[in-house]
Amino acid sequence: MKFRIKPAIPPLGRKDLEKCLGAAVLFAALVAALPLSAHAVTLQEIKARGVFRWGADAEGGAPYVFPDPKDPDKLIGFEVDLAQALAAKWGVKAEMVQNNWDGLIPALGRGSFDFIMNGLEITPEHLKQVGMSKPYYIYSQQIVTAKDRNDIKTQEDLKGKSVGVLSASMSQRLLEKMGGVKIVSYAGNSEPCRDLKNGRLDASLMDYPIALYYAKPYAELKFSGKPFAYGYYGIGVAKTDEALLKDINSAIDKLLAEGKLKAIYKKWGMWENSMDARMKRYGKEDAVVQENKAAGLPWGTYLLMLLKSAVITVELSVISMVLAVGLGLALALARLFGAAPLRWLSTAYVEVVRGTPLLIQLYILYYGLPNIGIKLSAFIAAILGLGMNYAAYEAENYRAGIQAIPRGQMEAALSLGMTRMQAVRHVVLPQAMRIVIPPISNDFIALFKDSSLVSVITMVELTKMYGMLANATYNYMGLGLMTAAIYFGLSYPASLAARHLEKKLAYDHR
Amino acid sequence: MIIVKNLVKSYKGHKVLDGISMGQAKGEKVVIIGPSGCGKTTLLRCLNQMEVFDSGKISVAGVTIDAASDHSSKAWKQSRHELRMRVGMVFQSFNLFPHMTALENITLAPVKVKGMYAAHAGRLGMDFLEKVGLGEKAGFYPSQLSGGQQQRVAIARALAMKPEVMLFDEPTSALDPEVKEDVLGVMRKLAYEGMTMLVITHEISFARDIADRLIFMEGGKVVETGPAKEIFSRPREARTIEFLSKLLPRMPRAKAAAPVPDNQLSLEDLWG
Repeated sequence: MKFRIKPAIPPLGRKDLEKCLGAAVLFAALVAALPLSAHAVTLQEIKARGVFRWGADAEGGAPYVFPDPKDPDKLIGFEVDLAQALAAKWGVKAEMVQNNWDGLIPALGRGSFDFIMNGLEITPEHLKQVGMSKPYYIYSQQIVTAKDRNDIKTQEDLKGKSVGVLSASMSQRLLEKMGGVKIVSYAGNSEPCRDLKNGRLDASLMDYPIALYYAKPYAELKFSGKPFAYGYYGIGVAKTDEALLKDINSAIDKLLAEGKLKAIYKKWGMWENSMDARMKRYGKEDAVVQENKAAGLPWGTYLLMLLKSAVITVELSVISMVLAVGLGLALALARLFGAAPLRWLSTAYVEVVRGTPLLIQLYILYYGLPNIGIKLSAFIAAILGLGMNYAAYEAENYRAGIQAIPRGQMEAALSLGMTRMQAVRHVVLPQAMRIVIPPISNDFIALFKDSSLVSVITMVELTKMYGMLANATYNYMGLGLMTAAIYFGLSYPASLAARHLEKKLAYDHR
Repeated sequence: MIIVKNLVKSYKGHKVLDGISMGQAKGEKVVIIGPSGCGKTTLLRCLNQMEVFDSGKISVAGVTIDAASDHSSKAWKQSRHELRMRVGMVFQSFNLFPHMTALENITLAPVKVKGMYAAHAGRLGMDFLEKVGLGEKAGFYPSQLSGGQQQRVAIARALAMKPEVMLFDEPTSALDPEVKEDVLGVMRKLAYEGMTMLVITHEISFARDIADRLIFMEGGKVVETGPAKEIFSRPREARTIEFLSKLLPRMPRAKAAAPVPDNQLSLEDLWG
């Protein structure tokens, strides 16, 4: 007779499966509904609350919303003044909610604030995502060049030139649509001005208000040609908040009629005489509305674009890791076996590099060095930044590995007549290598992911490409999963290879 | 072959070697005994320049090292290298290179230091492996060998450099009793072949078998030295007797403290 052993945990029955499935479906529905889950906001509710919350990114900078240079705790800018004017109109207070510019629309969907007021352009793809108010400002594009350049005056002149733009801005989309321009995209507004001054760019294309604040102060730069490509800034509300949108529109109408808008823009030096008439004509005249080139393409195209930028990521990671491993070894050997000044230098290098952020090092290499006459290309600066930074960590890995080798090993080698160098090379290092391979391969995977930081110095690698595509399409989820899959698909084989190497180098053949 | 004159070595104010002088002739086998911390290991380490000494002079296999000379000079480094080439050292903890096979452990130095051809060094290495009875273990890694086998490989490794003097620093202390004899056997063979050997050991019967001369050290000083037979049978110094009595439990303790009359006490008798 056979004994049947009753399992301690009963197997999942059909009912349980159904329950699990039900929970999964519910969860999926919740996730899908998330952007819509915030309830409709109305002016009545805002008035009852006594405060409205508007979303903006103070890092986006002047003259929109930015920290007062005289009192960095205080935010100023024309949009701050606008918010004050709206608040006065409604008899409530205004509260700015800081949010990364790229993430303003998703955050609005989550209900982080009542509306967006931060240079959000009225464009077809924005209109697909949010409700947009009447324009509160009409902006245009301004070409900025070095003082002595006279060959770039119109949009057409930009063809074949390298042109700096703010990442994901209207300027970038305009140039992408036109084609034939070497676009260099920056995370901020002051960097393209600096690179223009350094001669890394032929021109920079920026929103007029931005140009006023960032490019004007440079004596070496000038506004080239007339502003073109007019567009509108509008307030963005959740699609469901139609009533609120109406109230906002009537408030903007009143502010325009009362001359309050004009007063604000005059104060900030942003007023153009044609603006009054243009604003009043809004809706009757076609604005130059730029459709995003990247939106609405098949998935295969996105994948291809992501894969192409993944090649840059791999190149960056591999070359900088080679540099890091080589320089790290030299640093470790100098620290352990070098003469006193070498020892001191190596220790100082490791401590300083480890003790400062990689981001700052990249900024110094790329934007700082030109001040002393060294102009590195973005790729070289990225490799040097990543490589020199990781070299400090690798040096410590090697040091730990070498010090883990018993002293007797060195002594045995010396007693056989080997020099210190020979002993290190043939006896100590081969043993230390095996110890340091796991931490070094770990670091390689970390560097692989850290390589996304170099987007601040205009390198378009995988994460940056994802950001650009997601910004254009608002498909943060799908593209995000795709990008993550590419990262994983590249880093996992790397860790498998490291494991294999580790086994191959093992000498403990018990 | 070895001359040591007034060797002094201190660690943080403590004199580990306090004016040691000794000599050893070519082919002579000398055994150093003494309690732990007496400085015997330090003395050995000074002889192949694993340690730098404070004052005094050594001369080993024709190479002289003087504490007074400039240690950063090229000449000094050259003579240190010469010295190490002529002196073989066997450590208590074997110190085989774990990432290399037994044979590779032996051939590394002849190839890298003497510039010998790999094939030539390989044949030489096999000869020495067979000499220590481990010819069939050539391709084994240290982790696959027993302690006794590892120490025999270490001896072969030192011999492959054709040293004129072999120093042994407690070569069997880290070994299980059953494998000690394998290592001691190899050392006996070496002794009969006429190698100049300076050995630190607690293996008294081994010492009695091979030692021409015994040195008893304590407190960084040579307390007693003389022909091994003489010291074992009629130790003169009280400290020597006390130390030997601990190694040989059958020696009467009471007599150890008292001066020994007329060198009558025979340890040979006690061993029976």
